[in-house]
Amino acid sequence: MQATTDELRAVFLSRDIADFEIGSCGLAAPVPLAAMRLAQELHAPNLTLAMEGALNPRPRHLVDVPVDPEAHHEAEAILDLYDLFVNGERGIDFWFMAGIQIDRHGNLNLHRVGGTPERPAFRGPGIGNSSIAMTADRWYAYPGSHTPRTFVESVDFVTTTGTRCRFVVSPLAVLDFEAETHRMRLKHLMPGMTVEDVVAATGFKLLVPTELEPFPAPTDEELRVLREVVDTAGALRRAN
Amino acid sequence: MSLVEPGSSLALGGAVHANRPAAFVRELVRRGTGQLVLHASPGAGWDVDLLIACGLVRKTVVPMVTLGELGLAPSFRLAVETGEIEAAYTDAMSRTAAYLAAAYGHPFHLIGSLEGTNLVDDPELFDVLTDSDGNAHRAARAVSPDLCVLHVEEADEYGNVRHARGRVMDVLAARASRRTVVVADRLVSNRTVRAEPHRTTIPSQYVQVVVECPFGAHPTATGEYQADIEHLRLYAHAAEQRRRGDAAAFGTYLDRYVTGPSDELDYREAIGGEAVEQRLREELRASHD
Repeated sequence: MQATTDELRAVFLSRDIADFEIGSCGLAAPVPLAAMRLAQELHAPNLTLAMEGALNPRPRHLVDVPVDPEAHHEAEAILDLYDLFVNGERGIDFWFMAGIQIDRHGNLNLHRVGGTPERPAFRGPGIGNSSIAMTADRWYAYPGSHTPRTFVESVDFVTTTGTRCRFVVSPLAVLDFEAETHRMRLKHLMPGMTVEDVVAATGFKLLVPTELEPFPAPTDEELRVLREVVDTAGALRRAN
Repeated sequence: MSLVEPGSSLALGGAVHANRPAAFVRELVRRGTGQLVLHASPGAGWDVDLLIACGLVRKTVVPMVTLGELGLAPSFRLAVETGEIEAAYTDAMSRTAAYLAAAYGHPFHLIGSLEGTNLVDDPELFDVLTDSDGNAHRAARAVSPDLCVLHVEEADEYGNVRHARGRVMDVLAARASRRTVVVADRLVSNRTVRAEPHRTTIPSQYVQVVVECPFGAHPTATGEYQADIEHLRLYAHAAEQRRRGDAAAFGTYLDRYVTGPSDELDYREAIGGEAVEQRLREELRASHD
């Protein structure tokens, strides 16, 4: 079976994780959780998962909500929110966020779109932990959709600033940021996508380098471990 | 229940689909105690959405309101987007700071991580303090809810609490609130607690009321039974229909599961009795085998 977009996203992110780092993620967890668990299985056995609720769990399948009791499987410790507060103030290595809007500098919005603060046109879910994205060495955006409505000129509410955003891994492309301006730049196209597709789906002027490296294909071993050990219930194989 | 009056502020325990004080929430709806200010952290779902749909909420100070894999919380969205309730724009770490301040009895707790976001814009939640060197520091204002309501797996008659699994914000919420009610799936003896003091997660010092209510977190999970996703899906569908203007399914839900049953024994029959309880226990056990 060919790799799905979510599998490609998880494998790409897992390769950016180093051994002995400390990472975490919030809700809508399947892609980031897969990336971290895959890294642990393949090249980062000493990676620490400081999840919301438990330390170093090994959930039987890729749960959506890391605070659910099934997500604590084989955890080494139950954590209080106070432990996350410490991590949020002092900083860990990396974190992941999806979001409902992202702008050219990686500023992310999970709170509201349109209208006024008192009466928004759309009220988003909000966020558990914004602090970790603000103080971690880096965070990764993994938006579920890439359209002019989600990739916008400027976000309506800054839930998290984009300063420490390293990669945006969307269903269409991998994007990074130009060093001097921290403007979002195309890095890799997902298989089957063209530069025109991505530019048309982006609501601001995207930096496009003259030469694009192809999307790094997953190895057979990465896909085998992902499917047989990490994503046993096929959460990343369901959509697309 | 007389601990809650119209306008009370409540800190609801657990997170998203886990350890929500569901039995307490159903009883609040039956009594119609309104104008509530809800705190819950880091995230709330069914409980906060239901109280809003029943018109009992004036304001939420909840970092995240979501039904998780079942999508956005429909009644929360509807009420905020129509201006019916006030919903603070916040996150869990600033709420942690606010609870820490209240637990210490201090007016503020510093939080340095949110500069540059719009999360610090609300002057009701934050202040800026200047130290003697002239440096400015963001500080979350203390929050001391009138009543903290937790659902846990075990407690003794004095209020010593033994969580079986996730604790999330419960430990801190109990220390920050003026009073704490613990609803427990079962009471254990004080002798049991004394034999294993390392298992106590919240000491009785912070707890004023204990109620035994087996399966009282349903439809959400505890460390001993799985969330009833089918029940939550039914709720999510009914609440979404209501958001779109058709309240029939929501009315049926209320009648069958909330206002219809006269008490929690009645409720447990309404959801399918022992068979359903057994299934949800087994589902959680299977995820840990």
